[in-house]
Amino acid sequence: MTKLGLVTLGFLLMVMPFVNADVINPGYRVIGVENKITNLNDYPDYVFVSGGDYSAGFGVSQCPIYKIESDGLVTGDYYKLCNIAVYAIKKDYFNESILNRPNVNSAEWNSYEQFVKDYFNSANVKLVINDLKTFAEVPESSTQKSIIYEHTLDLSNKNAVSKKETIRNDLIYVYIIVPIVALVVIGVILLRRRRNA
Amino acid sequence: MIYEFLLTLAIEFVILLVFFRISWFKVLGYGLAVNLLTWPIAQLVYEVYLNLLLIELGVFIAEGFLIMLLFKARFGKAFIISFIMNLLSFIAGLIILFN
Repeated sequence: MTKLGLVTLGFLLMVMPFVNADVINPGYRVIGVENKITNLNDYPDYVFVSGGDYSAGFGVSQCPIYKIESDGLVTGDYYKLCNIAVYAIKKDYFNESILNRPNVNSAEWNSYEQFVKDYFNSANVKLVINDLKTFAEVPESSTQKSIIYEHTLDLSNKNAVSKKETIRNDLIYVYIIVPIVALVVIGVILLRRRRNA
Repeated sequence: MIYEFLLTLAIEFVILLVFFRISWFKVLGYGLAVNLLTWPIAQLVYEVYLNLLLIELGVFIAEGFLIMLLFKARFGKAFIISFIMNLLSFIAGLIILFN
């Protein structure tokens, strides 16, 4: 193949993707994100729920309220732009009806929304973690498989201590081994050249 | 992922081919070795340090030295070629990202 042919082939390879731009994957994938509260059992007098930060804009329709069970896992289906928060509610003040979300189009919706707003403004509901990350998108080439956030609560202090752990896929080995092999090959090329000189 | 790598390799191969009067097979081999060394490291660094421009700068410097050594190019020429290669692959990456 001539150099001109190779140059043409190279440019074709570069241009080809844009011919079919509509079906190109933008190159990102969504990974699993887990949030776990590690010391929930230290506070037996409290019930913990997750929900939106209702003072920050998004309502209870996009960011519903879920009870956090004793395993400490924050579960729930949230709109990705929700500013997820964790609240501690005194057991004797906890009202199960905040969890029973009616249909958004039903007649009860407005009163439920108002009830939630008033309930979360009460002094008996403490915001203990703000802005939980529940959604993550990484480049296709990323080695990240999932992310686990572990939060340790301190109810006397509003700021929880959070720890992030990233679980990686097998690509990490490829990204480590391949450059080492390439470095060895380059070294061998340069050594042989020096010997032959 | 492989596509992104091949695109980078294709761009850099074409640039190297234009600048160096040696067999295309050697150009491909050296280009492959350079990219197999720098591309995975750049991906890994990007995961912990999100400043793409600084990572590109690091790749530009590393590839400049590798071109100098492998292609026996002078310092200035090697770094001009590395700059062109990385600028074009960076632009291609941005086009794909925002397409």
